[in-house]
Amino acid sequence: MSNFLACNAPVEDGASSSSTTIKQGDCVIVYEGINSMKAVYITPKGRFENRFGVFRHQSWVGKPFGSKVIADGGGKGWVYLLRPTPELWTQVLRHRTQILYLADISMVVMQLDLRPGSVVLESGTGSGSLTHSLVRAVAPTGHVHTFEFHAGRVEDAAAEFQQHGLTQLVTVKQRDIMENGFPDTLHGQADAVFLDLPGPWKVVASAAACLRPNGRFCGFSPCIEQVQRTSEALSANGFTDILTYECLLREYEVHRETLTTTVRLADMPAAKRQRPNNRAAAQQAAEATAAAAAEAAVAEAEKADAEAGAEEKGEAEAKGEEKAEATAAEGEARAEAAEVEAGAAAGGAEGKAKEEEKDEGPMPPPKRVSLLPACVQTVSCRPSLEARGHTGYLIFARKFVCG
Amino acid sequence: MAADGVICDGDHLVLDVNGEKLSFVQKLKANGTMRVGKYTVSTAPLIGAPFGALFEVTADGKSLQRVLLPPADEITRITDTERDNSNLFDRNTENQKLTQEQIEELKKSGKAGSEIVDLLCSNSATFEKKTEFAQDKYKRRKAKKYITYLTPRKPTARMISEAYYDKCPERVWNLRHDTLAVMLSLGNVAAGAKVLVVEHCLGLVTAAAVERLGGQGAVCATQLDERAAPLDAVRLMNLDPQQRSVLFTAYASSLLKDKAAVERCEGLAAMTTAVPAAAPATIAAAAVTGASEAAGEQAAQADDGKQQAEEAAGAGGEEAKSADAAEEAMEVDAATAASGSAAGPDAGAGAGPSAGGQQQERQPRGGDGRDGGGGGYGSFMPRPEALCSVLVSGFDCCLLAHPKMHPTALLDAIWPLLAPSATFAVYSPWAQPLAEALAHLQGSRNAVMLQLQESWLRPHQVLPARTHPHMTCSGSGGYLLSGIKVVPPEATPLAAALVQHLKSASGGAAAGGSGAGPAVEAKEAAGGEGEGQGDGEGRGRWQVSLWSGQDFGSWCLCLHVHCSR
Ligand SMILES: C[S@@+](CC[C@H](N)C(=O)[O-])C[C@H]1O[C@@H](n2cnc3c(N)ncnc32)[C@H](O)[C@@H]1O
Repeated sequence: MSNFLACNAPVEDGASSSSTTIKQGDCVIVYEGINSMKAVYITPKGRFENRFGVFRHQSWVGKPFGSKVIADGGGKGWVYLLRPTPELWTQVLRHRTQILYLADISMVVMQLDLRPGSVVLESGTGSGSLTHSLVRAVAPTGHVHTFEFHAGRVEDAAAEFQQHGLTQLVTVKQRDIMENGFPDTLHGQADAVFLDLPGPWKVVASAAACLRPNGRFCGFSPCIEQVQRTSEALSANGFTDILTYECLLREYEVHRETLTTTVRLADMPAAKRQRPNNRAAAQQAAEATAAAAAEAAVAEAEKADAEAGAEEKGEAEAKGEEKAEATAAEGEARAEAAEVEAGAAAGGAEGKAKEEEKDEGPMPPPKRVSLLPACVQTVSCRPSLEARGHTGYLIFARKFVCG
Repeated sequence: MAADGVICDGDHLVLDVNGEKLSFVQKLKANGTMRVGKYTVSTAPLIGAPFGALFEVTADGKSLQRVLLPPADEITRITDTERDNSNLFDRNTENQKLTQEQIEELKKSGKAGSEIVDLLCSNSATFEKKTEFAQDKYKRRKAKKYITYLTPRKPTARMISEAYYDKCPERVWNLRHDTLAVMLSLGNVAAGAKVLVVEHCLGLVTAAAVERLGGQGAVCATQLDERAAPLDAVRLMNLDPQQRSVLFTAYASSLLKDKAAVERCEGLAAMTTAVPAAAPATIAAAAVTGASEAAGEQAAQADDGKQQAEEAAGAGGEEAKSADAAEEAMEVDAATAASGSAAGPDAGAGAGPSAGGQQQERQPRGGDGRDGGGGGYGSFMPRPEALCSVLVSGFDCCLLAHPKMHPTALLDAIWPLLAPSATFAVYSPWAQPLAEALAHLQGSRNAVMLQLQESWLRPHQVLPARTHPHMTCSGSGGYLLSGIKVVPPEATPLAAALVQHLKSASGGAAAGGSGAGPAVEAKEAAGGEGEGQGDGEGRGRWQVSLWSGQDFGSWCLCLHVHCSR
């Protein structure tokens, strides 16, 4: 019930630490792949099913977090069992609202100067994505007071906090914060206030009343108009250091690529010169060149293999059938490389055919300018093609120290 | 009570001048002076004031005056857009009725800068005719010239990070505060965590981790070679003894040896009793030195104890050499012994421990800097129970920010110290080494949730009718590789054979015995075995093989790559 936070872990008492092994009631993040994870709560009779097979929860109990487990009944499928963290929770939680993600959450926690013992107010709770990170930051002695006016969301959030063993650290209440502000009982109590509401400027005065001198404020707003109004309200309510940021994390894809280091320079094929205006002929010629190129590329790749093979030999034997698979893969890779080259050659041929329409000379064989190995293997990365462009603006401010 | 408490004699501070420039004050003296911009002012008014209070340098430039109300100019509400500048000729001197002498006079009289600015405005012939925009701009310009605001800030990791990034970004490898923030999130650093840090960013990462723990858990500032782990930033914070108690320094080699020893004898029982001879020697050392930690007199004696214990550890390790996991520790040792320039077999080109030479730390060494010799633990002694806990169950967070070390090599070196499901985050100002490490980890199947991300941050000017992104912003916050360690699948017979082969191919330098070996072995094995398995991970962007070996040790396998798309 309480494995969400490191500070909740029972004191280690003996040979095996119970906080690192799975027990009844724990929340486990079942990892199938980076885009396929699920939160599972361990129960005595519980079962987890996915397309790889069926898993009994009971068979997971006692295993360390981070284990790979195989499906029951000799199935081939397997999954990893991860210890939950607020970051993983953000990935797996059930969206009731728009939520905050890693980049904004990290900025909020850092810029609000949260640390163990801090008292922080939040509204709205939404899906509780940010709340989990706030709780982690202020545990074990601080407190998060979070307010949400939607009854269902309050209930859901409360249930989750309960399940994650966080009830000592977070209180979720139903309240219309834009209408009523934070409760008077919180005046002068908060080290930090965070607002993710449609009209944060309406709550700035109440936030000012709740914050201690030098306390930190943050508002998250998707639109610049909201930022504008909130900024004005902040400076009118005794805040200073008002700063607005936009932050993003750009994800990178990592690839292993095999790059060809040989530049083949093909001459225009003879066939084309004879019938300069015949497109079909040009095509045919290009194909012929492409085929030759493909052959050459394969031969080259094989040569490279032979070179690399010296080291690989023993291992190839050891690997047996797997090697066969790898070889098949290589074959495909090579074919692909050949295709690329062939394509380039074809393009070149066509281009040249147009330029040198009137030249009638004989056709020399394709030339190759060869560098060291035929290809190099590289690891490279580039920003993912699909990327988040905007989440929102974060306005930070500090309550002026008057007294 | 102010959120950050009040300033005391002897505190460290970050001085924020005009919200533009940050500087450090160490060990504030109640009756001293300090430099604020071009002035030297008395520090007395700061004592007893809350952190975050606003001060203004008096016009004579000698003293500080507390400002009790927020200056009005944060945002000027612009309502009037009727007036325009068309009939203004902006020749400031002629429009200003106050002469230079009069202004000097005012300054000497000790008037506050803000008062002078007001006088300048009211004595300007054109001020009233200016548009509100222009008035605002005029005021700001004059304010900048005549008012110096000062805010003493609590030296939190955030403030220190911002100050470092301001003053000397290259000394923290351009690690920006937002990137540090993401790193702490991805590392899951919080109270109760056991955090392994290897960094070369002036101790900033260590300091941030210590702050997040709030006195519960452990932060190990790990030392690789003869250069001590940097702790500059830690020394700039006002940590109380409880907060400080989580921090200890240790040689990676010692930790690895002890870890191996613990695993060998499943030795928790041994450790909790009276440290018998069989117990890991550095724990004994820690027990000895830990007890006499603060006592200056006993320091030498403690050092002796440490050294002896360390030797014992060395010997123990030697004996265990053929057995198992100690191999890994030995490797790291070898690298260290080779005068810090040679890299171990698994430290790739350019990853030599001395590579950061030009950034060599100037370590402030007080009486506590005795971590030079012996190879034991440094100025921050580990509490035995903390050490025991990290050795038995492993570190559950790992933060690496040592860009001159190839992340693949660094991760490999410390990998055995991490608990299963440990979260790790690696910072580098360069994407490429992290991409290579990611590919390596993905091949090894020893980690999941692998992500490579770049942080991006854009500040905006928000003013009435003049809101836009800042004209300049930092180009990149650097890159983070993050992931979660998983328990490697058991080595198959095939994989074991592969390991054997590797061992012979590399002259036995890299891999250990063929039994249920240490993690590093199993990892390479797992990679080899995993080829074409087509399991959950296989749904990723590519299916591949092993480490390509292009820039890594000679013993690595080279397989061809199949891009499946
Ligand atoms: C975008 S969501 C917050 C998401 C949250 N930050 C997270 O990370 O999961 C905004 C929430 O504010 C709530 N809300 C809107 N107006 C409110 C009000 N006046 N008082 C309290 N909550 C309100 C909405 O019901 C919604 O759940």
